This record gives sequence, C-alpha cells and structure tokens, in this order.
Amino acid sequence: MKAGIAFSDHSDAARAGREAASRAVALSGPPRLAIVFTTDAYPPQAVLEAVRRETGDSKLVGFCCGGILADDAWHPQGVGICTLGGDLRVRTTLQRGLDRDPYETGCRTADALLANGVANGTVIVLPDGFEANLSELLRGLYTRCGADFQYVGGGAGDNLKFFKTHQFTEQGCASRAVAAAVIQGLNLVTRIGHGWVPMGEPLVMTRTQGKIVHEIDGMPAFAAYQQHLGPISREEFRTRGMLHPLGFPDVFGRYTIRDPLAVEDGDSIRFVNEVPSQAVGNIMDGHIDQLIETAGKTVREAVSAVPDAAFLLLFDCISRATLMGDRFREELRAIRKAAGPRLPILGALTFGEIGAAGDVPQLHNKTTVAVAGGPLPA
Amino acid sequence: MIFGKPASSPRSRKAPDYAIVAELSALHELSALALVSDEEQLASEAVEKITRLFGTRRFAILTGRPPRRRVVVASGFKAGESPAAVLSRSRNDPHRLVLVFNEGKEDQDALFFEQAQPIDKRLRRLYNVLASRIEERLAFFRHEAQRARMERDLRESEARNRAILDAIPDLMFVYDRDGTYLDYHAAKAALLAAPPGQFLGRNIRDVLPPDAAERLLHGFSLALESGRPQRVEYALDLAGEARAFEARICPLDDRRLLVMARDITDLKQAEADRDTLQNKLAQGRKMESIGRLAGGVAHDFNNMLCAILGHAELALNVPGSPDPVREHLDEIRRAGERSADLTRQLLAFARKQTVSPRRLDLNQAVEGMLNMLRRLIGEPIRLDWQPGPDAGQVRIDPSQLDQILVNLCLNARDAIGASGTIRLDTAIATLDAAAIPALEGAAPGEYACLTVRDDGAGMERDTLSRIFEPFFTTKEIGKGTGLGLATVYGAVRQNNGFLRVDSAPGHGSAFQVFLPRLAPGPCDEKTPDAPAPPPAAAGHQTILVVEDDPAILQITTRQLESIGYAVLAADSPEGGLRLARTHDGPIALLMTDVVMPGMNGFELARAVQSVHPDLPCLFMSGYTPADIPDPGASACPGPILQKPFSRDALANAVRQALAKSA
Repeated sequence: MKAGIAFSDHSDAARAGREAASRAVALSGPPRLAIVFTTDAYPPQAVLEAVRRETGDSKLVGFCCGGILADDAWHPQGVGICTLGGDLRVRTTLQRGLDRDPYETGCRTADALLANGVANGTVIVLPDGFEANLSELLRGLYTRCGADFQYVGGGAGDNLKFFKTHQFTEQGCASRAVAAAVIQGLNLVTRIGHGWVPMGEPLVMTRTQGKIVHEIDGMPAFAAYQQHLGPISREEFRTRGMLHPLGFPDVFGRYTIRDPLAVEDGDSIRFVNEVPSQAVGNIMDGHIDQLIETAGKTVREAVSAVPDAAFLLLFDCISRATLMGDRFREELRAIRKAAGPRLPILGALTFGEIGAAGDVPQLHNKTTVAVAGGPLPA
Repeated sequence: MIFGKPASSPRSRKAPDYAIVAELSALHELSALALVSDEEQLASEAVEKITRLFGTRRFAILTGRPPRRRVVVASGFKAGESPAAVLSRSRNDPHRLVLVFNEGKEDQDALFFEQAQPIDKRLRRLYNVLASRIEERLAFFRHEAQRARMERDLRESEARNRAILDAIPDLMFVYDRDGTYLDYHAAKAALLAAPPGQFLGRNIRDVLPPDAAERLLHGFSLALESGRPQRVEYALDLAGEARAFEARICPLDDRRLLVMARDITDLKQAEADRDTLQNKLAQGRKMESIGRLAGGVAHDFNNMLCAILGHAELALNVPGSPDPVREHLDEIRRAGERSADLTRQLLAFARKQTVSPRRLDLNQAVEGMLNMLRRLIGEPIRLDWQPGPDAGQVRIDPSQLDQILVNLCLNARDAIGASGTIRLDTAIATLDAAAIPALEGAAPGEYACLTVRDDGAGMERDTLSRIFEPFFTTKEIGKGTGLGLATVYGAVRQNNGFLRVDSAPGHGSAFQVFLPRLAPGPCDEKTPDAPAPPPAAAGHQTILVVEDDPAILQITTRQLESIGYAVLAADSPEGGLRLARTHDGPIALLMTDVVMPGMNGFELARAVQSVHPDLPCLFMSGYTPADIPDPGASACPGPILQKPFSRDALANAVRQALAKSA
C-alpha cells in the first residue's frame, strides 16, 4: 500500500482542494480512500468537487475540524488530505439524523459499512461534534459491528465558533451527521493518551443531565469545583476549568476525560460531552509538559506497533491546542520526534476524540488519538 | 462524597493510591445499579458501565434456562452471532468469564465477559461484584413481574367476578349460621326487604317477617347438617305488593352460608296461568269431543226419526184405523217429535243448528222477551232488567237469542227455588288478549255483554266445570234433560261469542254472555216466521229418489207415492244414474240425499243432468247447511230439504221444485 498526505491553505477552496489532493495522489497513486480534513473557511462542496477531480472514483471520508495538523504545524485554516492506495477494501457511508437519535444513527452507520460483508477492519468515525451524544453513537456502532473492528476518529468542529460543522463522503455533504469509513487491507494501530492525572478525592456525579453536571457530591457542581480549586469566579472558571477537567477511571486506572466548558444557571457546569450519572471521578490536573510528553508517547506506541508505517493520522483535542497556546508547537515537535522524520502526518483538531483505551471505543476529551498505518504484515 | 473533602488544596495532602481509588470508584458506580427501575434501563446502564469501567470487549447477560433462555443485553457480538452459543464454549477460556446464578433453575441468570487480556484474579473479583449487582436486579424484576402478573390476574378475576355478579339478577346474601347478614349483592335494590344499612350485621329474625325468617333458618340448619344446597320458598311484602321468593341455600363452610334468592312471583303467576289455560284447553277439547259426538248422534238419529215420523204419519193417514191404534200411532209421533226436539238441542250444542243470523239491537231484543220470560219463571221470582246504555248491536239468529235467555232464566229459576231475583243487564265490554280466555276462540275487541244473575244456591267448583256438558244435570231424574245450558253454549259459540260464569255456594251465579258488538247500523227487518206447510197436494209425475239409507229411501218413497207421485228408487248414486239412463219415460224431478258414499248428491245431479238436461233437483240432508259440501259453481241449483221432514213438508218442497221447472 501507499499513502500520500498533503496540505494546502490556498484561500480558494477549490484550489486548495485540488492542490492538496493532487499532491497526495502523486504520492499514493490512485487512491482507494481519501481522508479529507477541512476548516470552516472552506466551503466543503467546493473542496470536495476539486478533490474528487483528483481522486477519481476513490472513496472519500472527511469533515471540517477546528484546525489541521500538517507539515508539523497547526493550521487554523486549510485543506489536508490523506490518500491511501493499494489492495484495500473500503466502504463509506454518510448518515444524517445524528442529533435526533444518535444510537440509531450508529446502528445505521454500522449496517451500511457492513453491507458488503466486511467482518473486521478499522472504522473511521467522523461525526458532528456539537449536538449529539457521541457516546450513544459509538454504542450503536459497536453494537452492530462488534469487537472485531477497531474504531478511531473525532468530532467535527469549526474553530470554536460552535456554529455549524460538515461531514462528507463521496456520496455528499451534510451537517449534524456522521461520515464513516471501514478499511480492510491495512495494518492500522490506534493508541490514545492524554497526560491528565487525578487530584484529590474521588467525586460522585450525583446529578447529571446529558452534558450538564448539576451536582457533585450532592452539592452544586461549581461549588464542588470551588472546594477543590479555591474560590474562583464563573469567568475565571472558563480558563481554570480548562486546566482541570474531570476524569473517570476504569478498573485499570485509565481515566476518560470530560472537558468543562462553562458554569450555567444554578451553578451547574456544562461539559463538552455527556457525563454519566452517578459516575465516580476526579478533578484532573495537567502539566503542559506532561501533556506534551504523553502525546509523544502515544504516537510512539502507535508507530512502533506498525512495521513499515506509511502514515500517521492524529485526532487531537482542540482544547489541548487552546490550552497550550504557543507551546502546542512543542506537542507537535514531540509528535514528530515520536513518529520519525519521514513519516507523513496529518491531523485534525477535534471536538471529542474516538478511540479505545481498552477494547471498546469511548469518547474522550482533551486526548490525543494516534492512528499509525502501514501495509499488512507479509 | 466517599472519602471526605480536603480541608485545603488537595496538593498539600498525600495523594491517595489512585489504583485503589479507581477500583473503589468502579465499585461505587456498580452500586448505583440498584437504582435502575426496569430491565431496559439495566441493559442500558450495564452497557455504559461495563464498557467504560471494565473496557469489556464482549459481554452478555442471559436469563432463564434453555430452551426459554433469552438475552437481556449483549455487546460486541457480530450480527447473527449467538451470545448463548459463545457462552457455552467459554468455560475454560482465560479471556472469558462465565458466572451463573441459580444454575439449573427456571430463574437461572448467566453473565459472560470477554477481555482482550486474560482475566486475572482481581478482575474476576470485580466482575463477581458487578454480576451480583446485576443478578440482584434481575431477581427483583422477576419478582416484580410475578407480582404484577398476580395483581393483574387478581384484578381480572375480580372484574370477572364482578361482571358475573352484576349479570346475575338474583339477590345474594352471606349469612353466618345463626342468621346474621354478613354480606350481600343485589342487582335490583328494590327486591331488598330493607336498605343494606338496616340489615347488614343484623339477624334475619329482625329483618324479615317471622314466617320467612323461620323458613330460611330451617333451611340453613339443613344445609349445614347435610352439606348440600337446600331450597326454600318464602313470601315478602315489598312496597305493598306480595312477592314470592325462592332461596337456594349453599353452605360456604361450617359457619357461613351463601343464599341466592330469586323473585319467582311472575313465575308462579305464569304457572297458575298455564294451569288455568291447560284446564281450559282440556275442557274445550272435551266440549269439542262431546259436540262432535252429539252432532254425529243427532244427525244419525235424525235419519231414524225421519223414518219413524214418516211411517207414523203415513199410518195415521190411513183411513179407518181403529182409535186405539191411532192413539199409539199418535204417541209414536209425539215421541218422535220430542226426540226431534232433543236432536235439535244437541245440534244447537254442537253448533250445527240451521240459523239465519240478523243484526239486532241487544237491549231491544231482550226487552221484547221480558214478558215471555216472566211468564216462564213464574211470579214468586222477580225479574229485574237493567239495560246498559247503548249496549249495542250484535249479529245472531233471534231464535238463538231466545234459546239463550230462556235456558239461562230457567236455570236461574231452578237455582233460586221458592223466591228470589233474577237480574238481566247489558253492557259494553272491551277486552284485550289477556282478558279473553284463549281457548274460547274469540278475538280481542268490543263485545256486548248480557248478564243473567241469580241469588240462588250457587254452584260448587266441580259442578261449574261441567255445567255446559250435554245431559249433565244436578236435578232429579226426569226433572231436566241436561241440555239447556249445552244449548246456550252451542248458540253462543256458533255466533263467535263466549261465556263466563261466576258462582259460589250460597252466593248465587252470574252467567255472562259476550257477543261481538257490531258497529252501529240499521237493524235487519224481522223475518216473519215461516208459515206451516200447506197440506200436501196430489202429484203425478215420476220422481227419481236416490238415498243410501234404506229406511229413509223406503219412507220417502212411500210418502211420495202416498201423495201420488211415481217413484224410481235407487239406494246408491250409481243405481240412480243407471235408472236415469235406462228409464224409458220422462223423469220430472231428481230427489237425492247429499252426503253419500262414492258420489255426493250434487255430483249425481250433474251426472243425471247430462242424460236429462235441465232436470230439476231437490236435495235432502240431515246435516246443517254449514256442513254440507260446497256444490261448486257448476252444480245444478236446488233447494235442500232438512231431515227429518213431514209428509206435508216433503210434498211442498217437491211441488215448489217442480213449479220452478215448469
């Protein structure tokens, strides 16, 4: 197999699409699958048409994200493409209605991907990151596909405007949808990591409702946070909360992160994604150094598990970039260092990351998901 | 919170062992499974927690035993893959854990977990805790489902019982053995002897009349002693109306009884009505039989009387008969005429009189007979006449009305004895179907009612049931023929009326005659009585006489010959026809009986007329016109002479028949 990764930030969407696609195809040869990341300044239809002129009848899956990681840099706007050629079996689907019934959408997505009888492989899941309960999407997907697939992906975003996202395949473009692809014929290894560590005693989410945590340990959520962080204002929480997400451990001590957004009425806290009711977690602490190191470690583990790795895809939480600010470059350097100097890398800054710490895909926040790919072992 | 809040920044204290914290956190989360309210929520929570807390690659929860095992939830299986089949192959796989509760029983639960890495002792312990939490909820849901089923079954049973109770029109009571009311059910509260508040908890003796209470209590004793249901009838007065009840008493146990009480008042009334109707039916059939017998006897006797009177008459007309002989012949004639009267009365009873009904004003007709009736009953007995205003008109032969009044008044006179009063009155009676005795054959409608009342001795019930039978009499032998009231019965019934009699010993009798009342119209003119036939005139023609009764054939032949006619006599229709064909000379008249074997008189007349066209016919018969077969449109017309007939009546009829043909 061959992979090609390219990026263009030409201001013209079609031009950017054509440039990125043509360069990627030049590297991969005629692709079986094109993975396309765009940003909110690029009308997706225009990008797609241009890309498809270069990729021909290749399958295509993509979304718009909060930024593109390419050429070892973070690009707030642009078009990034990863083309994969070779003896691959690929099936894509674009399923709408994600906001209405995420579980059923997950089931339909799985059914569409499995329609040609594929029994194992890697599923790339690119849903809208704003509206829906993505955990339910994953539950529907996993219920149908089962344990013989690995799952990777991230939530679409729009540069923190929280206005509208796009998901697309070669079948078209949609919003409030999920674009997905299943690939067979590649050796794909997924690793996730975040670098956040628990602090203090465990907390019980005594009352939650979707993305809103109303009470922690029987008291208003913000009050519970203040008990740990000291007296802070609601405005201060916007930045302090970013530094102290919640983490929910499994029995192996692996923490799934939930990112707080803002304090709301009644001292409830809105999170980026759903928080399970009666879940027991901790307020997490994060040192940027630790975060950077973890990102590098995650990439290393993924790449080292794939002999002759041909490409690396990243789904990295946009809040990591926001939090680190200028130091996000260090994360990118750590990633590059871990991947090796020549491995093509394409990443998307996402709203929620999809990957499995164990065997079952979960939705993560503030996490780095690394997917290393190469040819199947001989 | 589980571990308490830090007093200061958590970083100033020793950090807990987060591996232990993670485990305890997971265990705490598992305890939250006790909050799930149904199996669907349990499945949802199980998927969330097991996949998140354990990262379990595949798991399944199954409940029940094969073949009724079912999957509560399964995660990570491929489409079409059977969790039960995977579970059954997993017992010794280090990556898989199977935990079974209540193995081998109907409430068996099995949980299956699969991890990518081998399941160590610690993980197994945690899975055990998880599984026990889940199994506790499944057992609870089963228990709740069973309880819900039982409650639903109970509700359905109660609803069914209530519907059954509501559908039962009877009263139901539960008593204790001493007769205290414990419970009740009444579809119709009006049948209760008292409102429930006034009998529940009280003794039956305080609620029901003594007779009813004692009957029921006796029934209670019998039911409890025998263990078998008992039946008791009792009566109650409800809102001033007497009601009859039937109670079925069933022992519930050795201390309580269930009583189902049914109002049988209407049933009893219907039974009484049925008995009455059956009696009337039997009575009616008896009277019909007697009537047919009487009619048949009268007809046959009339034929014999024809011969007896005819010969007596002929003998009396023989000149020079010695006086003693004439005296005997006279006696024979008188006896024959009395016998003819009897047969006429029998025919009247059998409704076979020859009558000519006319429209009459009832009051006027009765009024016209009062003088004669007063003479008949004699002076010591007063005859009161109370005409009802506008009693109306009826259609009846006046002679039959005479028969009715005469016989009823004579009967009343005989009942009164020395002195008393007979009252006659008329009235209008409008009767519906329920009021008319069904077996009388009369239709509902308006009737003119003539009542004859006396203050005589009255009659016993047994006598009443037989008074209209022919020859039934309570008088001494020779004091009455027993045909008077039979004649009245026949005359009334022949005119579509009916009779009612009220009588009781010491209370006199009242005979009511109901005749259909006509709409107002002009009364028919009174037809003068038919004059007595003139003496026979001599004749000379040849008459063909056909009669299958030899005695009547002989006497008729003799009577005609005595008048001067030549007679060709035949004793059968075939013989008559042969004579008609073979006789050389002219035949002036065919005189034939009507009812004969093989061919009736009308058919014979047609056959003879084919040989002798326009031959006049005279028919004779012992039957009333109503019983004579219809001659048909093509029959030769001819008068009918009723038997028995005198010589003079015969001669007159023959002369009139011959005169018409002249």
